[in-house]
Amino acid sequence: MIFGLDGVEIGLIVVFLTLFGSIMSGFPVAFAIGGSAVISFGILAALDSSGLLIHQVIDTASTDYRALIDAGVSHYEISKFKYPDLPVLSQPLFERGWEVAVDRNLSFIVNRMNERVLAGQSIETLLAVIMFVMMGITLERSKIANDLLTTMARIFGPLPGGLAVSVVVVGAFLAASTGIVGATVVTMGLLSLPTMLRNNYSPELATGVISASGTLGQIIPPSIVIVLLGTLAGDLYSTAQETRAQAAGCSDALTYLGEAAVVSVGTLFQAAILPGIMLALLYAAYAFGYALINPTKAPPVLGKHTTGSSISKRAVYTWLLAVPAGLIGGTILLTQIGLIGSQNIVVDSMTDVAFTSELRTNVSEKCQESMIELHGQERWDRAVEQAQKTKDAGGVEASRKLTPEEFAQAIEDKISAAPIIGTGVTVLFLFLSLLLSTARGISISTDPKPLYIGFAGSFLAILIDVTLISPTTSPGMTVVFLAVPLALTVYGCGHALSTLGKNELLRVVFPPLILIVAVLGSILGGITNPTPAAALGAGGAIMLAAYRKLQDQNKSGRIILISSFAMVIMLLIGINFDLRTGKETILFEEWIAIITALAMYHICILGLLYACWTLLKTKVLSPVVRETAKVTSMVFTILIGSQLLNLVVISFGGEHYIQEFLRSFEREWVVFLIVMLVLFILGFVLDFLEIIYIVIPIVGPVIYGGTLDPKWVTIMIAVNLQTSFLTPPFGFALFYLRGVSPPEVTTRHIYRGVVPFVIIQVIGLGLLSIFPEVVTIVPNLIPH
Amino acid sequence: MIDFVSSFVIGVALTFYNIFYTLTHPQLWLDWNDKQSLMRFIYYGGSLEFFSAILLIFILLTAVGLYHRPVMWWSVRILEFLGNKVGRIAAWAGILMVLQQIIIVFLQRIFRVSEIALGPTSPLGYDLVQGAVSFIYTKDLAWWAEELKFYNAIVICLCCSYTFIQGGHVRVDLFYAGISRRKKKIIDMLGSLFFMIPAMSLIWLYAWYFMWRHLITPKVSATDTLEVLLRKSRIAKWNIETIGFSPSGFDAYFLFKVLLLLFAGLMFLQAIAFFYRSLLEYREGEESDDKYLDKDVLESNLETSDSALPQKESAQ
Repeated sequence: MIFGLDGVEIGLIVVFLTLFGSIMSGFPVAFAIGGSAVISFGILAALDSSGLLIHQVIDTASTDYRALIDAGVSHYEISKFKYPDLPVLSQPLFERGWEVAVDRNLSFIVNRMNERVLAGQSIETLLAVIMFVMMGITLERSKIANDLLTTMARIFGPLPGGLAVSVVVVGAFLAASTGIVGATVVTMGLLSLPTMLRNNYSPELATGVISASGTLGQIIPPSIVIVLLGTLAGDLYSTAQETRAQAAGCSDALTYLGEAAVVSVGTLFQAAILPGIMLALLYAAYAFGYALINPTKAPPVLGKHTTGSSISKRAVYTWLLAVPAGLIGGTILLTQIGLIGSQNIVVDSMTDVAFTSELRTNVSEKCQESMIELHGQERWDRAVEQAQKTKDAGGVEASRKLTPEEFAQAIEDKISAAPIIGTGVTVLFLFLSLLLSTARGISISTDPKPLYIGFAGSFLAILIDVTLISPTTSPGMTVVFLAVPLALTVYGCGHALSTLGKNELLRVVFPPLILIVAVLGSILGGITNPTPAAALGAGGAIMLAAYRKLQDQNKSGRIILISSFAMVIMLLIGINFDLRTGKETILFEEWIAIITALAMYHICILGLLYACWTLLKTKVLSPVVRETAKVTSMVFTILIGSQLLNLVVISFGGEHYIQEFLRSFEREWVVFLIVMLVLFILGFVLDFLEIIYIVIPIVGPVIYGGTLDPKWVTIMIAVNLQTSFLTPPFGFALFYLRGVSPPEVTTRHIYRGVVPFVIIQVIGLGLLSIFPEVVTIVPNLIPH
Repeated sequence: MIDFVSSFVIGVALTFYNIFYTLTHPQLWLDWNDKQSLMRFIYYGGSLEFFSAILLIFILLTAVGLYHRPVMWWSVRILEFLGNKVGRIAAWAGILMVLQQIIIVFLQRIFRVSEIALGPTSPLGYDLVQGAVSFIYTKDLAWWAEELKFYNAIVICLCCSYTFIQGGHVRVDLFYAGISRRKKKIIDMLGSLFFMIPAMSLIWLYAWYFMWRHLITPKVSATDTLEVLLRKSRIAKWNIETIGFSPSGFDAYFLFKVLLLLFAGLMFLQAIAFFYRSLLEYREGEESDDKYLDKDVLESNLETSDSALPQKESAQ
């Protein structure tokens, strides 16, 4: 025994010091981690062979231990920390020698790499990383950030602190489109820091707001941090809850919790959205408040108005606020009272399985006790009652095929219950009408006739839907009925688009905004997984970049526009028609739909290939692809290095030791607080990648194994990591900013400037702990 | 002490002999029709003898290179050329992956197809004549979706050394940025020797047997001795892993094991190249920094203001 320390403790200290020294040496981190793992294992093996490392384990054969087990204490709960008086056995750190440890533990590195880095099941989510990186780099290369910043600065400039607010807005925007923190901070530092300084902004406010907004990318989806953290959290949560259920005496987590213990990256994206917006709002509010108190340090910047036409106040209120609010509100109202809704009349040909009870009740006595403790006596009693009822009714009725009469009756019921206006039609025309009203509001002086024709078309469409279209109308007939109003509306929208195109703000903001809405919308709406959404985002970014490139070269970007429209048409057809060709009967109208959709599909993909070709020819694609490969390879190599380190820590029982230590606390929030503090401190010196891959796998089983909501835990970790990247003296964002700031901005300015934002972060963390609803409300609203 | 020296000398002599013997008797390990020679190949691929041979060659090359520097520079240039070439080609897997995923999601969600075909009548995955032509390559949709992982693995494993050459791996430069140039080179030398080479050797050792376990039966493992393996050779036969997660999913998972091995091999070579480069730059002084380094240049017509962005910062 050295210094009276247990062998495992010495092991942990050796690993930690070696790791710390290796990373600090400045050698590329991915290899410093893997290398330090092998080196520290070597040190421990040498010490252990000379008999210096003695580990004391609880003697499971002792009578005291037996007594505890007999008293009903689960063996998960028995540790040296909780029961220091239990008799112990002394044994070498590597019980069967270090050679066995190499063969049994370290050899798993290849299985781990295969399972968790290259080919395993959870890789399917990690595939999103490379595609999001590609999307971000493409957008960055196509100078979207530059345009956004200049435009936003022009709009918000006249407000007090306006430039700072514009940085926050752009930061949030870039975060939603790329999620690459370093790049965002550098871009904004290069572009807006000089502007702000020239306009007499204090260097403190300027640097603080840039570094804080630049790190928003870690929170606001699609953030790579959340993809990586979420993949881990998903596995950790389900295994930890299984363990918890078994400790409680139940057979599995589904029984114990009454719901499946799963958390997906998609859900986490949904959870992250409000906290991200909340932080952005807090930053903006601070910048605005600061400007009001110190007007000289963040003065309004008076620029010339450059919007195409003057906007009168009344027009703004009417067309940009009242009309859209009325339309959306009206739609929601009509949906609520059942006039608008799904006209789907598909009936399942099988009966539903009868509802049994909300909790499983045929469980062991010990499990029952734990479940009552978890869910409350009331809920348990209700479940028992429900189960009894089912039993009295003669058990659960099996699902069976409906008779033709029942089937016809079910369809009849559905038809009579269907609302008179279909959701699809409503949403389509609502969207087009919003476009029209925005165009009207932006440019009140142009001829409004085409826009009014468009409005008339929308109205006519709804009228036709009410009168002529019933749930039994086939999609083909629906198209025929709606052709005229649709043509009218599209005619109006064509004019609206050309009006909007003249407005600089919309021209700059719209394309990336649509991309973001499409990617986030498809993830948040639960339509696709993050991976396909990321691919669509990357594809969209490529098309956007190609379009800009073509415009820069004064060439026509018509092909790109045509293929985008083709995609929209294809999606509309896909939603409204059954395009399968393998079924028995295919109606004539379906054939038309299939052929049209196929044509659109080929146009769309060819457009994408054309975009790739354009970028390739202009020498943009190759750097994008290479840069993407570098970032991806770097991220995953760190993952590989961390796997090796993790295996070394496991090999001598270090992981088990830390987990037992954390489990020995009575109160869960104390553990969580400790973990958060450790993460915060580690965040000074380590990148988020290393923290996620090294620390989370060790502490994860404990913090995800309790009663805390996994979504909340993950978001808290993400915000916490973001905070530590801002905190002087080692915050990463500050390094990035210092690298690109002009010489008159000192490190001192940057440090002083970021302090208020660190405080805002801590306030944000506090708000999230007091109101966890901020995290959970969005995922709960969206049905799965 | 004398024991140690004599065993060292014998070891070196033996390694020389081993290299010579191996090169002059290729039929003993390259004739894979003979299962014994296959097993010999498998055994020595992850053996101490192989490691000693590599180590010996490395030491000899270093000695020659120290005496005659162009040799060392040529080693650096050849190894870096290899890494760059492989990485730059492999990087294109990323864009393939994006395109394939888009095609999959459209065909799956909109056309509800169950298979994606490649052929003259289905240029973009949708079989336009519905099986009327037989010479097309058709695979289940799940196969294509799972295959995306393979592209990802290609980027990870084969671009790693390229990323390393381009300085794309993140460094924590709290102290590194502030120390002298010479100290930086020393850290880089030590790092390649003590961080990269041991870890990559360990990964190679297990990855080697891991790969063979999925190529032949009976199973081979790192602890098997040559005798055991030769005994196993009597019943050995090729058995390439073709099962995946789902029945109709990707069926070539052994490729991932090959990539894993390539990762370890490429990074091992890169460690040597980086050691040599740091050593040469250390000895030759500032003017040799990045000599012969084929670094990516951002094309001038990009006009991006963030071209000032250092490589490593694209990390987060």
